[in-house]
Amino acid sequence: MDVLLNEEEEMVKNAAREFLGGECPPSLARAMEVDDLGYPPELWSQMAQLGWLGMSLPESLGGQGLPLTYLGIIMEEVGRAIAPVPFHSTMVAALTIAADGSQEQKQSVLPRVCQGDTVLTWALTERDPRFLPETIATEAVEQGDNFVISGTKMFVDNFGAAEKCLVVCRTASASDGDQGISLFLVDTGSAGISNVPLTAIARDKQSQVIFDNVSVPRSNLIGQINQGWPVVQAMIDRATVLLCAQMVGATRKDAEMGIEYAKNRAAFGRPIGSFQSIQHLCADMILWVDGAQLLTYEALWKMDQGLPSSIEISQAKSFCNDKCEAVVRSSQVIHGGIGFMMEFDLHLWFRRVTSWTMRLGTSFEHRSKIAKALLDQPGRVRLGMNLEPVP
Amino acid sequence: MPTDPVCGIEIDEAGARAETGQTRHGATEVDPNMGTRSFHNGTWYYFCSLDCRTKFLAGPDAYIGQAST
Amino acid sequence: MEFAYTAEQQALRDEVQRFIQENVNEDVRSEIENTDEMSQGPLVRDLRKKVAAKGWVGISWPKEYGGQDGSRIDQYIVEEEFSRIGVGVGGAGSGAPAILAAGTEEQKKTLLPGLISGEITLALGFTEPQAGADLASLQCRAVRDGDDFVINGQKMYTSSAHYASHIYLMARTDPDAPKHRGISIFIFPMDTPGITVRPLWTIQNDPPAPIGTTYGQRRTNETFFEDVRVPATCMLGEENQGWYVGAMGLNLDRVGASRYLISVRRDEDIINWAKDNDLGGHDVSQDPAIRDRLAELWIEAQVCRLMTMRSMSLMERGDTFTYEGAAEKVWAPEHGVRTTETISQILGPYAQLMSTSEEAIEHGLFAHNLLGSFQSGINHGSVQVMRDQIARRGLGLPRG
Repeated sequence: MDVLLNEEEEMVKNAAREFLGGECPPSLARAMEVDDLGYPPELWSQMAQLGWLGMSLPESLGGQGLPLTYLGIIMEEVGRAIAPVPFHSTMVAALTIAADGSQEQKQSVLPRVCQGDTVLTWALTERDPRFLPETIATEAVEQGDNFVISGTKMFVDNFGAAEKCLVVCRTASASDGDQGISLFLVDTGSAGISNVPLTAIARDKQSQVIFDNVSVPRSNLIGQINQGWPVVQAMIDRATVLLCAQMVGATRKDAEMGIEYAKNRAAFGRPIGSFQSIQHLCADMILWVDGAQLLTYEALWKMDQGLPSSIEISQAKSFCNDKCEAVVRSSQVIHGGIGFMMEFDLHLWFRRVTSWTMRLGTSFEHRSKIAKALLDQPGRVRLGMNLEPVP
Repeated sequence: MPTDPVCGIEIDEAGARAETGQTRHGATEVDPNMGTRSFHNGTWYYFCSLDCRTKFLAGPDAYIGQAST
Repeated sequence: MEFAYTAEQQALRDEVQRFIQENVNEDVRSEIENTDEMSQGPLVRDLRKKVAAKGWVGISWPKEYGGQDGSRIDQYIVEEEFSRIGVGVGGAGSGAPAILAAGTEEQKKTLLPGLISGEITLALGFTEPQAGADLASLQCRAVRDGDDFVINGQKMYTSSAHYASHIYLMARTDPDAPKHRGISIFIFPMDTPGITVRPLWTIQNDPPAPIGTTYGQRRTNETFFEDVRVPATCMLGEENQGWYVGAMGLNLDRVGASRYLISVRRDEDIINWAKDNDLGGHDVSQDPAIRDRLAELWIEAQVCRLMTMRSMSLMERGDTFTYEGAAEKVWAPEHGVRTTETISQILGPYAQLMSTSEEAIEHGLFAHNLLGSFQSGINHGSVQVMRDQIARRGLGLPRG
C-alpha cells in the first residue's frame, strides 16, 4: 500500500509535463479549435517518438508494454496542457484492438498507432445516450463476405482526423438482451459515411456520424459476432478512467491558475488570496481535485491489475463530474470578469473540463450503478472491500 | 463570600472548591453544580455558570471592580 | 502507486478478525458498551493483555520503548479492526508522537512504554475557555522557581482528566514573547497537589449514547491548576518551544484509522441497515433519491479512506506533510456530518429516538450521531482552522 507515485511514475510525469510545457502552449489549443484537422501532426509524431502512443500497447507490436497507470499519468499531463491531440480516442480504440482484436487486426493497426502514423476513434452512443445494449440501433447486416452498416452515431471524437473507427453495431434483435452486439473496425473514408460536426462547449472535434449502407469486410469484425457487449463494456471502462485522468490533470492546472491569480490580484488594498473566504475556497478546490485524483488512480491501478474495477471507475467519474466542475467554476469565480473574456486563457480549461463531465456517464448513471452494487445484493458492505457490479 | 462578577449572585466559594471525590489517578474532583471559576491576571473569579463566565471572558474589564473576590 | 495490501498485511487483518471473533463475546461487548472511560473495565483489560501478547500494541513504535519496530500500515490494520468494536489499541494517543520526537531519553523511557501499553494515559490540556481555535493565546502560566515551575490557570475540555494518569499541558512560560514563542509543554501526574477537576456533562449523557456513536462521550471536564509545583524535568522539549512541539504531535494525531472511521462508519451502518430493514414495510433502499444520495456518500467515504492512505503512505516513506493531515481533517468530519444528516432524512422521525426510547433504531445510534458528528469537525483543530492551514501552508496564500 503506497498510493503515491513511485520514482519511475514520477519521472514519466515530470518528463511529460516538461515536454508539453515547452511544446504545447494554450495558443496551440486555441489554434486547433478552428483548424479543420483539429490537431498538429508534428506534435502527434513527437508523442509517438516519446513512446506515449505505444505506452500501454504490447511490446511485440511496437509498444512499451507498460502498465495502464503509466498511460493514465500521460493522459493526466495531456489534460493538464489541454493538448489538442486525438490521444484519448486513439488510445481507447487501440487498447480495445489490443485486448480483443485478432492477431491480424493488431498487426495491421497497432504498430502504426505506436509510430504515430494513424489516428483512431470509436463510435458507440446513439440518440439515447445511456450505456446500455438496447440503445444500439445501428445495424450491421451480413451480405456475403461483408457486413453493411446503417445508422447514426453521436458524440464521436476526432472522426475527421481518424483513419479508422470502431463502430458498435447491432447484429441481432434487441430482444436478446446484451446479445446481438458486434464491433467493427471501419475505414472512415468508406463510401456511405457522412460526418456532421457538432459544436460543443469544449470546441473540440465531436460529430454525428451517419452510416448509410457502409460495407465492411467480415475480417474487420472485432471479437465474436453477437458477443460484442462485454468488449464494449471494457472499452467504456477504459475510456472512462482515462477521461478521469485527463479531467484531473486539466482541473488541477485550472485550480493552480485560480490560486495564483488570488495571490496577485488585489482588492480593498490587499491580495484577494489573503481573504479567508477565498482561502477556504482554494483549500476546497485542492481537496476536491486531490479526491478525484486518488479515486482515479485507484481505479486505474485496479484495472491494470486485472481486478474488478468497474465500481471504482464509476466512483471516480461521478466524483470527477461533480467536483472537477466545482473546481473549474470556482476558479472562474476567483478570476471574476476576466475569466469570462475570450482572449483570456482560463476558459480553455473551463470549457473542456465542463464538457468532459458530460461524457462517458453522468453522475446519476454512475451512482445508479454503485447503488445497485451496494444495495441490491446480499451481504454486508464494508469500506475498503471489493464491490462487484450488479448486472 | 465572592460574587459572580457578571450576574452579581453570591458564590459559595468553599462549596465550589470542596472535594467530592477523586479522579482515578488522584486529582480532586468537585461538584459541577456549585459553579465554575476562572484565573484572570493572578486572581480566581467565581461564577454561577458557564454562561456568566463566557460573558466575563469576552470582556473582563467591563466586570472587574464590580466583584469582590 | 500500489493500492492493495500485501498478502502479509491481508493475513494480519484476517488474524485480527479471527481473534476478535474468538475473544470478544457478549460480556466483553456489554462492558465496552457500559464503561465510559476508554474501555477500562476488567474484561477489556484482559483483552488488552491478550492483544499485547499478540504483539499488536504499539506496532510502529520503537522496540526500546515498548513497541514492535513494525510498520505504520500494520498498526493501522490492527487499529481499524479494533476501533470497529470500540476498543482503542493502535497508537499511543495524543502526546506520544511528540514525546518520541522531542522528549529526553528519561521521558521516553518512563512514559512511552506505559502509553503504548495503556497503563499511562494523558489528559490533553491545551484548550482554555478563551483559547480554542486560537490556541496560542492561552493564558495558563508556568513560572520558574529554582528547579521547579509553578503553574496557575485552567484548561477546558480535558476529556480524559477523570481517568488519565498524567496531564499533557501547554502553559505560557514567557508572557512577554510573541504568543507562539512563549509557550512550553509539561507532562506530570494527575495527583500532583493543586489540580482540581470539575466534571462537564455533555449532551450525550442523558440518555447515554450507545457504543459506536461519533463523539458519544458523556463526560468531559475542566481542570484548574492552583500553585501546582512540578520539577523542570517535566518539560517536554525546549522552554518556549512548546507551540511547535505540540503542533507536531497534533498533526501526527490526525492520521490514523480511528479518526477516519468515526466519520465513515455511518455509511456502512445505514447501507447495511437499509438492506435488512424497512420502515413499517417501506423499503427505503429502493427509493431512487435515497439510492443516489447513498452512492454519493459512499464515494465520499472512499475519498476519506484514500486520504488516510495517502497520509500513511507519506509517513511510511518518512516524508513530511504539507497539508495532507489537514486535508483528512477537513474531509472526513464534514463527510461524517453529511452522512449523519442524510440518515436523519432517510429514517425520518425514527432518527430522533435516543438510546433508551422504545422503537429506537440501532439503540438510538443515528439520533446520538446527530448530537456528536459535528464535534469531529471541531476537536483537534476545527475544519476552518484546517482550511486556513491548507491555504497558507499548502498553497502559499498570504496572511490577512
